[in-house]
Parts: sequence; structure tokens; C-alpha cells
Amino acid sequence: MLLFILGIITVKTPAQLNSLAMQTYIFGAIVGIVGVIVATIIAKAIKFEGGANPKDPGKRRLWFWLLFFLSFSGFFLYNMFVVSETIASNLQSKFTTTNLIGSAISAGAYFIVGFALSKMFSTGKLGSWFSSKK
Amino acid sequence: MGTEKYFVIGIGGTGMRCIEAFTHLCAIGMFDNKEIDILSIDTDTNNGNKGRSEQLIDRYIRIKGGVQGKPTANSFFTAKLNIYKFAPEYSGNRLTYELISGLNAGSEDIKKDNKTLSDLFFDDDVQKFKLDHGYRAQTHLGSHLMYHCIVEAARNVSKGGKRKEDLELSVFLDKIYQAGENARVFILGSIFGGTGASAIPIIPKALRDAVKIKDKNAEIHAAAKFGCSLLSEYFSFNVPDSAQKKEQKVIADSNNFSRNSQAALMFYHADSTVKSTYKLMYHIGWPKRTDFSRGDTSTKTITGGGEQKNPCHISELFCACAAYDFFNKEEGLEQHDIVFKSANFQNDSFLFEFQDFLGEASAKEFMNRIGSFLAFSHIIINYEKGGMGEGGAENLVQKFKDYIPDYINLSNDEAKDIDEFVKAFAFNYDTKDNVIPGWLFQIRQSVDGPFLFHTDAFSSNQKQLKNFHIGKLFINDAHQFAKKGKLGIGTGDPYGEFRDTIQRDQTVKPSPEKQKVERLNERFLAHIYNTLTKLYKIVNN
Repeated sequence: MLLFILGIITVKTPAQLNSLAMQTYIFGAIVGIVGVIVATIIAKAIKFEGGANPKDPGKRRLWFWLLFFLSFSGFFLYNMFVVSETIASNLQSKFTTTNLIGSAISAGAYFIVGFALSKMFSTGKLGSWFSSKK
Repeated sequence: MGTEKYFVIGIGGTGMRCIEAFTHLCAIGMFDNKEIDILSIDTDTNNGNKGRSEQLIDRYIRIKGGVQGKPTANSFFTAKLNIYKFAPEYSGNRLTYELISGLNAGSEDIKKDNKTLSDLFFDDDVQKFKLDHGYRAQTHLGSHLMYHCIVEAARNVSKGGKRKEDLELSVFLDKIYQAGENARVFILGSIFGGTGASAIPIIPKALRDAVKIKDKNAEIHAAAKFGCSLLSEYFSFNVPDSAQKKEQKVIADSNNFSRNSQAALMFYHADSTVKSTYKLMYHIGWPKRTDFSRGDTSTKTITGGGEQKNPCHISELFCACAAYDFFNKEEGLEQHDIVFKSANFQNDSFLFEFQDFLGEASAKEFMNRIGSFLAFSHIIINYEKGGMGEGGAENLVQKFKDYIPDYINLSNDEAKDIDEFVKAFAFNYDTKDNVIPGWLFQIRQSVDGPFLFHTDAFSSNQKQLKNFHIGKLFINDAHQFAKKGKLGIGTGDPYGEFRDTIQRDQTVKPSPEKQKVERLNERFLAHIYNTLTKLYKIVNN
């Protein structure tokens, strides 16, 4: 961010871009996992509701997909508007592909970890993420 | 102990409320592995208390699976109950003593002799009052008539009579006879009123004679054990005014209840028949009288009928506890004895502890079971909105459909019976959201000062009651759950912890071997019982 504000270009060569790409993929996976952790905390904080029409499973599901969207789109936009500005203009088009792959990794990590957690703890609150319950 | 057969007889309006208390003790699970035959006897067939207690038992029996039901253990609704309903025929040409005894039948000489003999024992008004609202505290008449109506019922059946009440009594008699020396019969009723007070002294003899009438070669085993409650006065109601006294001629006056109790106790203490028939008599009393007129300022006494639906009182629970003691006693049944115990009484109120009800040895079990059943009631009525027009148990079952799919097959009727039972046990809301006190709430209201659980668990304020934290049901910190700690750590969500535990914890699953639960709703109830038992940490399940 600071580099962007200062207008400093740090990625000037293809080798540096390759290194950045690897960091982006790893960072994407981390963002996805952090997103799932946040979704887990929120899911746990949503209380079970009684009655014939409990809203809690729907709320957990809504938050899960909202965070899915926010994490991968946030990561994509961050790369596009923040990280891209630190890359030399002749390499920026290549980074667009890297960004797309990184965001896909973020979304994939989020989805796979979320799905696994939901199935592992299917009898608990996380089970609401992938269940037929309203 | 294993071969013992258990029988409970509830007599009169107070006896009916004692049966109600007994049924609730069974519902919380205090009678594991037992099959209990209950006989309700009331002269007043339309009595509101009789209707309420019989309806409760009928519902209990449906929850247990009807005739096919079996006793279970370590759960709710563990005892198997069978109900038999007997009522003397007091209508038409059998409405008064005069009519039943046929005082006006036969020749003039016979009529005169009969009348003279009757006058020796009974006032003229007593001979002529209508019996369909009970014996109206005329125990000398009541004992005579109750004995004869039981004997007469046996005679009718032996002659092929088909009167439903007589047939039910007959089946009950057969069961006591078949139980032989293993029969334990406990009789519940008051000693200060009419029907119960009349029947307690004569019931063992009447049953023995009735069995012989049905089959001259049969008899109730000499070693069959009889016990009873000696419940002295604990309530009062509107005293009849002179107009009602004039109209009714014979009417129970609650001002006389103390004297009635005293006379009855003196009789039981001295009477050789009572001493030879009863092994244990549990003397139960209350230091002051609860007003059953419920704010009604009229000067009319409700003599009986559907209007007589008096609230429940803790004395009746103690009668049910006496039955528990009698059924579980292994020693001390050799000789006749009158027993009593007392509790901590300070500043004009009792400070009850769990051990005061069923004794030290059963205190933890009682605490766990009654507390868990009360918590279960809160879950069904409040959290699952059973008290707000929804199906509470059905809603809970729906929650489990992804985790415990079996329960989804619990029928709506079974779920509804569970709902209605817990409402009768604890509380309900009316259409204006006012709290309608159930049995335990009425019991609590009959006690001044603190009562076993957190005060808010019995709040009459619907908002406070709806928000009650079931994790804080017990006053002792060691038996609380879902608390928020000093640093704000902890869920503070008791319903959430209940759901989390029942859905995720494999150790709370019902055990067909230990709990003997076969039927679906028994497994459902056992699952809930295990969960709450684990959360409250009172006993190790």
C-alpha cells in the first residue's frame, strides 16, 4: 500500500513477476482460509433458534457465501488496484492472469476448506453451510 | 424387590391430586423399571380434579405406548402405568343413602326396623343428602357406603354384570390377588374431608372381601403390604353461608377440617383393624392452610363437580414421595408404624432441599430428574414455542432431522402428547400471553420462601419466563452451564449448548441396554434426558 502511495515500482523483471505470482497464489490461499475462519467465528456466534421457522441456518449460510464473495473479490480488487501499481507497466498484463488464478485459488481454498469443515462438523453450526435446512 | 408388584389407589378430590403428583414423579423418571397399577376412586364422577388426573395418566400411558408399553430406566417416563377408574353408582334410585339402603322397601315393620337402625348411626339429613358430590365430610356414612360399593361391585361382576367401573375394579382386584405376597398397595387421600377420609380405614378390608366374593377360593395374600398417606388439613375454601347450609343441609365446612384430622388420627392410632391392615402410614401435614377459594369472595362452597378443580399443593407431592418410599423400602415393613419427618422451617416458611423429598440416598437422582424435566419443559414451551401455539416437540424433532433422522418419524400425536404433558407439568401461556401455572408451578406457589430452583424459573411475568436461562436453573454454581464468565467468556446460550451437546456428543445417545428404550419417542426422551443430565453434572449417567 505504502509502495503504491509512494508510486514505487518494485516488480520490474519477469523473474520478479514470477516470484510475485507465487506469493500471490500463497496469499490467495491464506485469504481463503482466513475467510473461512471468519465465517466460522460468525457461524458460531449466530445462536440456535427454536420454533418452527428458525432463521439461524439461513443466516449462517448467507454469511458463508457473503464472505466467500468478499474474500475472493476483495483479493482480486486488492491485486488489481494495489499490487498492480507496483508492477512495471509492460508486465501488468501478465499479472492480470496471475491475479485471476490467485483469486481462483482463494475462492477454491475457501470453498474446499469450508465444505470440509461443514461435513466434518455436520452436526454442529457449521453444518448449516451445506445443508438442505432453510 | 425384583418381583414386587406395585399398586396405587387414589381416593377423593385430594387423592386425585395426589395421583397427579405421583404421575408427575413417574414422568420425571423416579420409578425406574416398575409397572404400577393405579386405581382412582371418587364418588363424584364429574369432579374436576378427577378428570384432570385421569387425563394426565391417559396421556402418560399414550406416551409410554399404551398397553404394549414397557418399563424403562434412567430416563423420563420410566414407569409403566395402568389406570383403572372406579366410581360408585350414585344417581337415580341410588342417589342417597336412604335410596341405596332400601329403607322404604318391604313391609311396614321392616321399614320401621330399618329406619330405627339407620337412625342409630346417621342423622336424618345425612341419610337423605345427595351423594353425587361425595360424602361431604360425613365419614361415618362414607366408610359404610364405600365398603359396600366395593363389595357390591365385586358381587355384580361375579354375577356377570357389565358396568364398566365395576369391571375395571375387578381387573384391579385380580391383579392384587395375582401379585400374592409381592403386592405393595399404597393408598392416597386426605383424612380430613369426605371420600378419602371415609375410604382409607376400610379399603384393605373391602378389597380383601371383594376378592373373596369374586372367587371364594381366592384371597389377597396375608403378606401383601398396605401403606397410606395420612394427610391432615392443608387448605380451606369458602365457608358456606346460612342459605347454602339450609339448602344443602349437609355440607363440608373447612372450619372443621382440623377437628376432622384430629379425630381421624386418634382413630387410626387406636383402631386394631387399621393397625393390622396397614404396615406403614405416612403422616403428612402442613403448618398453615392454603386458601383454595382463589380470590372468590362468594359465600358458596363448591361441593364438587367440574367446578372443583383445586390447585396443587406441595403436601400432595409429599404423599407421592411417601408412595415412593413405601415402594422402595426393603426393611421396616414387618410391623405397623406411623412415620413422619420434618424439614428446615424458619421465619414461618420451609427451606426445602432436595433431600427432604425422597431422602438422602435419592436426593441427587431427584434433583437431576426433576430439574432436567423442568428444563425440558422450558425448551419445549419457550425455546421451541410449544406454549405459543406451535408444536414444541415436533419443532425439536425437525431440528434433528439432519443429525438424528430416526426422530423425524415421531408421529404428530406422540409429539403433541409430550407437549401437553410438559405444559401440565410446568406452565403454559394463554392467548393473551398470561402464564398458566402447571403442576410444578402450583406446587411452588404453595410454598412461601425459596423453592429448590432459581426463582425466575417460576416467574409469573411472561417476558421473564420466556427469557429464563435454563443453564441457571440450579442455584448451586457447580450445576450450571452456558454461563458467561467474569471476562465475558462463555456462550451464555443454554439452548445453544443443549443443541450442540445433543447433536454432537456421541455419549448422550440413548442406550437400549441400560435405558431399555425401544420405542422411538422413548429414545427421543432418553436422548434429551442424557443431554440435560450431562449438562447439569449432578449425577454421572
